Amino acid sequence: MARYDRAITVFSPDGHLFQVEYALEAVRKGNAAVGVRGTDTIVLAVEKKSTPKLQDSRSVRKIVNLDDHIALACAGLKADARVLINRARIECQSYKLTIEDPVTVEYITRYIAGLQQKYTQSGGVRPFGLSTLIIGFDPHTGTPSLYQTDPSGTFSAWKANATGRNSNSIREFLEKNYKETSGQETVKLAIRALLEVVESGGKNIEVAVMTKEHGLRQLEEAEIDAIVADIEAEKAAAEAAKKAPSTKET
Amino acid sequence: MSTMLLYVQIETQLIYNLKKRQMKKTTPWAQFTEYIQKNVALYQFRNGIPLTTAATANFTRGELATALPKIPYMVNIILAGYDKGTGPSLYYIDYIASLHKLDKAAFGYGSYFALSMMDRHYRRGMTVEEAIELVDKCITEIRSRLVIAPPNFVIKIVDKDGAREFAWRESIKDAPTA
Repeated sequence: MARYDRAITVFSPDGHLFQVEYALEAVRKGNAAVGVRGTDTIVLAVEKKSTPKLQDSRSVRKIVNLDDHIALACAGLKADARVLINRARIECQSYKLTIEDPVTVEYITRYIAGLQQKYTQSGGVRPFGLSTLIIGFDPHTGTPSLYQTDPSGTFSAWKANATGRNSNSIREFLEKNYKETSGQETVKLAIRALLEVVESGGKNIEVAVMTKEHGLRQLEEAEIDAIVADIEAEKAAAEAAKKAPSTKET
Repeated sequence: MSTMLLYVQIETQLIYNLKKRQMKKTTPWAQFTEYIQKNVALYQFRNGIPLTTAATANFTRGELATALPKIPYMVNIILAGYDKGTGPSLYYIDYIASLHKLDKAAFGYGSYFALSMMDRHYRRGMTVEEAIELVDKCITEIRSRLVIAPPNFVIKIVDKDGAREFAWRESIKDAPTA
């Protein structure tokens, strides 16, 4: 066991890359993030740590734009994220300069995953402690997509997915409740999924909605509170409906 | 209040829209303005606020100046922009990286005629209509006095609503545009 997780990422005799696995552990400890793909909207929602009283909560943003039509949310080490986001933003502009077309979601995902993979196979570096959710509309066909990357450098496309703390229970919820949705319904589904593991209220959640026409829009705290209240009312109503017939039977 | 620019379009010269509110005019190295354009866009993503016209002009000059002792970009640039608060502004940057904030500018062979025309007729606080009239005067002057006058001109306007193409002044309809 000893010495297989030092300095450069080297295989252990049983085929593990410990540094990558530790990076995955950092992701599992990070804030939860949810992404849901609708037909005309894509939604990213992340868990927000409660900010100290004197801190300006707007100075901490976990959902960012990479280009006008691409956005990213991540779970894991915030400091690593800044580096990765910066590299991705440069690539978006650089790609436009040489190709004269904006990047596709798949391309920028592949670029980010490729970058993360490099950090598992070079000397003197450690992997990015990050798992990212990347959303966007294809600039040519206008189809919405959602991708995920992880510290090992693999990436995959999803209809809805979660990463970070308790991501398994969120994913289970999404698997049970996923429907093809559009507009406000997509936003609701994403927030509902996140509420599975996060205390309710706009203070603990950050939501960004992307549409083809208007690009990314971060929801205000009041807007999120309104949706959360809506969801809770629905839940209460559903519970009451469940209770009502059962009380009759007994 | 809005700005009006005169651009002499000779062969390979092109006009670019730079991030909605700014506009550029270059000589052959069109790539240079695209490079500036992308860097201005990158700045906005990194910092969440757009670069002002003044900042863009100074950044552009800086890029030209650092390249000057190595492989200089052979470009003259007129940069026009509109910023909230500052209003419209016009910058002239030449290929040896000098930067001037001006009310009127022109370059190329036709500039000698255009500049004297503007010296005579320009005044502060002109309306858009008056400015377009002055631009047309310059174009007429270039066409009648410059032996190698280009056939076609494009007029663009930059104001609070962004940069847009206003009109073409064409003497040959389907002349190849570079």
